[in-house]
Amino acid sequence: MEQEARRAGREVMVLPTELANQIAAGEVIERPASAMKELVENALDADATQVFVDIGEGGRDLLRVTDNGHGMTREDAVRALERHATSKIRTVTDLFDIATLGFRGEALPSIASVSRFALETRARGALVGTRIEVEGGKLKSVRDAGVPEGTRIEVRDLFFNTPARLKFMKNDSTEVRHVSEALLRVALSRYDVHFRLTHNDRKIMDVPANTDLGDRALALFGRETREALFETTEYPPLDGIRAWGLTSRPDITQRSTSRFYAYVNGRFVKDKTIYAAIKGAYRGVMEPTRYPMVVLFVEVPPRLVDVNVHPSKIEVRFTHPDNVYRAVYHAIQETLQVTPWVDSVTRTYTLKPKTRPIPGFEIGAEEQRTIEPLNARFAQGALPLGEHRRPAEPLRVPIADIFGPPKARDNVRVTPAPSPPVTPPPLRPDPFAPKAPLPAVTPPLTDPAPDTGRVVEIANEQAEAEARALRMQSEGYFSRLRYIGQFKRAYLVCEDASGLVIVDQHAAHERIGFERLRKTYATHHKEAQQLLIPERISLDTLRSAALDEHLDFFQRLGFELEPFGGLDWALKAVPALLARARYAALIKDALDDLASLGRSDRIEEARDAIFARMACHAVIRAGDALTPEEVLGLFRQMDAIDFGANCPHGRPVYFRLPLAELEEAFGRT
Amino acid sequence: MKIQIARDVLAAELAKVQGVSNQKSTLLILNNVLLEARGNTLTLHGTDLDVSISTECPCEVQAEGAVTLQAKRLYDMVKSLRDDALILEMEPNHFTTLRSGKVTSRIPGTPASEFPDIQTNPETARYKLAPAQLLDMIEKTLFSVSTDEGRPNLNGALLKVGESQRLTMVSTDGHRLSRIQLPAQEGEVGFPEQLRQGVIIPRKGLVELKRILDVSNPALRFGIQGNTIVFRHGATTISVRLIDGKFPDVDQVLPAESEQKARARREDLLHALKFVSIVAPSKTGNVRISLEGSDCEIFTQDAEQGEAQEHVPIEYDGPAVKAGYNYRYLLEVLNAIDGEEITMEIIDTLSPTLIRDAGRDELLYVVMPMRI
Repeated sequence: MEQEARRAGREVMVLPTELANQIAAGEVIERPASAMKELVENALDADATQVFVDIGEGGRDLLRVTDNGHGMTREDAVRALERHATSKIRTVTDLFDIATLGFRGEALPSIASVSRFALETRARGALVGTRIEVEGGKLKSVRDAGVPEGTRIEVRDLFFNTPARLKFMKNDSTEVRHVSEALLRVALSRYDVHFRLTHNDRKIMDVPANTDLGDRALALFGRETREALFETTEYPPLDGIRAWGLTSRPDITQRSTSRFYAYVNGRFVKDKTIYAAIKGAYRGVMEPTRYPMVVLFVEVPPRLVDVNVHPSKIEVRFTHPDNVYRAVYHAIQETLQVTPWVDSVTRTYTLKPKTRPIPGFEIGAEEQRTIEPLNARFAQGALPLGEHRRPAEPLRVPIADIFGPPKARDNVRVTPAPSPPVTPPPLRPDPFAPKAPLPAVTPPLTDPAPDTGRVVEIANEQAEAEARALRMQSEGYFSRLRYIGQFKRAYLVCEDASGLVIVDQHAAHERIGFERLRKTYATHHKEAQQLLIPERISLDTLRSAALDEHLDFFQRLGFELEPFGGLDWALKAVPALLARARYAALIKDALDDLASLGRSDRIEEARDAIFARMACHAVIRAGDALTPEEVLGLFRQMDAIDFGANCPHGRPVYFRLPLAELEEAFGRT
Repeated sequence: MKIQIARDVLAAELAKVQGVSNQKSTLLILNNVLLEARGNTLTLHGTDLDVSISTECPCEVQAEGAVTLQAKRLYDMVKSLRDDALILEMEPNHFTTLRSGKVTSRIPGTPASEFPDIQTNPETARYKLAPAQLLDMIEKTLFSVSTDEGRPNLNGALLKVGESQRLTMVSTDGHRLSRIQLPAQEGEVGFPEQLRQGVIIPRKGLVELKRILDVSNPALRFGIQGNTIVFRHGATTISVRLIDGKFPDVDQVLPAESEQKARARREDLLHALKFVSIVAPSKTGNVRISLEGSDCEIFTQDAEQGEAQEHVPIEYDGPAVKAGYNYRYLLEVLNAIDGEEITMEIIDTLSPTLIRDAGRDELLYVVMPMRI
């Protein structure tokens, strides 16, 4: 026996099917969560609108996936259990045009080879269904069964015949966490499908079909997280590549990329190009060691992406990583620049003017003209400093006209309806445009004392209408704040029409300085400091090739590099701004980025770091007393820049407490 | 150990040693100074392992012995004493009591055996060198020693002996370079063989040397032992671990002396640079120098800070040229030069610019222009 086995070991043999399946299972099925993912993906590929997952004892005892998809005929079902049997691709060319989630034809036989496996299915419209049982990869029985339309797969005793794998299973709660996380990833991407997950008959997740991603995020993550997420900006497709989704306010951060939910063509991926683009978009508004939360769908023409890189399909390869980077970067960055969260705290009242115009506020070209002179009047009416706290009747009256009587505004809160958009405020206020210089806010808190909730509400309505009108003009939010005073010589306490706004004076000024420096140096100071003694930089083959290819990238930034023989390069000039940096390391890092991502922000990051340091030094700090005039000056500058709500070091710049919340704190609601 | 010593004497010696001791180190013992009392001499040692300083002074030794004490604290105490003399006495547990007039203090010490062994053979330092000469070399080159830790071979100045026993010191950070070449002085017979190749003395060693060198005391000898250069100056010995590395061959990058020499008063240029730099872009420090006929224009411009220019009269008969520089590099050069007049050779915007002390051929400064 033993001899025979040894002899067999020396010969090259085709592996028995079961063994091949078990090896494949080792690659694809690491733990219950990965088996679950494969089965759920099959269900979705079968057009299911309901996918229910039940697990027992962490998935070790039981893993059951029930769907209402189109089911299979008996022949198909039997064939599905053969290795590399798939209905999803037929030819090699199909492999480059994959639109389904699964395609390798490995999942079912792999799972069946390491478990006691039962498959029940009935094709749509068929009279009888089929039940197939497999144990450890051996077909046990195939028979008719009365089952509902769709497919139900029951996996019991996973890894019962692979003790090594079984040993590596973690305790139940860990496995359940993996299963939930894996299902959550799928559920986010298919918000049109009803998902349910139970563990030992206890419900863990139950999300009925939603109509949009935002509602699915709400169902999965809860209100607080949902409200911190904002829609990314539509950006024209690059090379057919589009990215869209939700991205978090910069103050929502985590220590790792654990909340990057990135999908390529609906498939959850961990991709460094996408991750780098996300980080890139948040650069400057978030500390480099923190990560935002992002739900992002990248749509790439199937021919431009290779998904067949990794058995669990978590990695992909792009033909044009730089376009993917740009698509992702712009989708997020443009949203961050608009800083939608400035209004978000009052989101129940205020609707985003760009995408959700206010009903009853459809104005034609003529009416628009009536607004412009209004703006113009205020732009011109540069009243001397100090007079700005006068009640600004001229503004108030026309605004009321524009918005109609207060009652008509009630529906503003709930029913956004499509209508021709109001002249959208410019995404980036032109910093050189004349500002409407004076805040024309009537202090709403001095209105007749609101004794009843109703009065408060009406006062709020009016205040909100005004606040909204102010924001509609888009510019001058900060300079229109009414300044109340300085707290601890560090915070500027102000009110807007319906809330308390607290600004961190140092962070705000720092941010202004940072943006200003960045702008100045981007346009004016491109000098290159030449090196007396060229620095010799030795590269490896990959980096040297990357440098060859991207030489102009470095030249544009002020580096002068020349081949020095072999893989060595001579650095002859460096950007003057970075004259004290560690160039060799910087260049190598940038080359690695260029090689893998098709672009690099290292050098800009190094520059930003210098700006952030410079900005930090030349600005007011906590402890500096400010006069009201200085405060107004600060606010005007804040209005003049692309204002991210965080200082360059990533700390928030201001905080807003809506009146409604304040009242809630005092039990007045 | 028990000694009685004059306050000013001890303070003066501690001042020499505490510069190296007073560094932040993870090795606590390096913050300490080692005091050794033998015969009628107190010897003090301080080290950060790269630079070690030993010095001695007379004192009344009542009980021989040794102890290490926190250098900075001891120095601060001794300095602030009101009486002229003090007594230091170590207890068996190494606590040491300082007594002076009405003052008593008891500070913790550690056994001398814990102090790193500073091994220098006094025989090493046998080559004579004039202190004024060494100080001159350090002062003229120290500012352009690189602080970029990525290029350790530039983190010090090269000391080298050239033809006819000419001593050369060079420093560069890649953007500019300073070189001084001094002829051997009387009595300086021969130099260590290693200086033919040149050795790199780290910045910190140069700083400590500069602090200790006393031009009124001509007794200075030096030598090289292994990778350490040792200087004996009167009662003080300083040994500096040399930087292991190859200093770039500067002769290769230096342009030949050109005919386009502009001659100007150093004070005039200094003033112009300081004035103009007020509005220069703060990070790049870019200023433009234009030479034409007898006029040198120094000009700068910044989008935020405005622009400024000043004209300085020069003697110049070369073609009109202009180039941009980091004004700090120019200021540092002009501040290092002592003479009243300087010459400047701007060849073009790509070639190194040479600046010299018009009265001293031994000195040469090179500044690389900025390309706009």
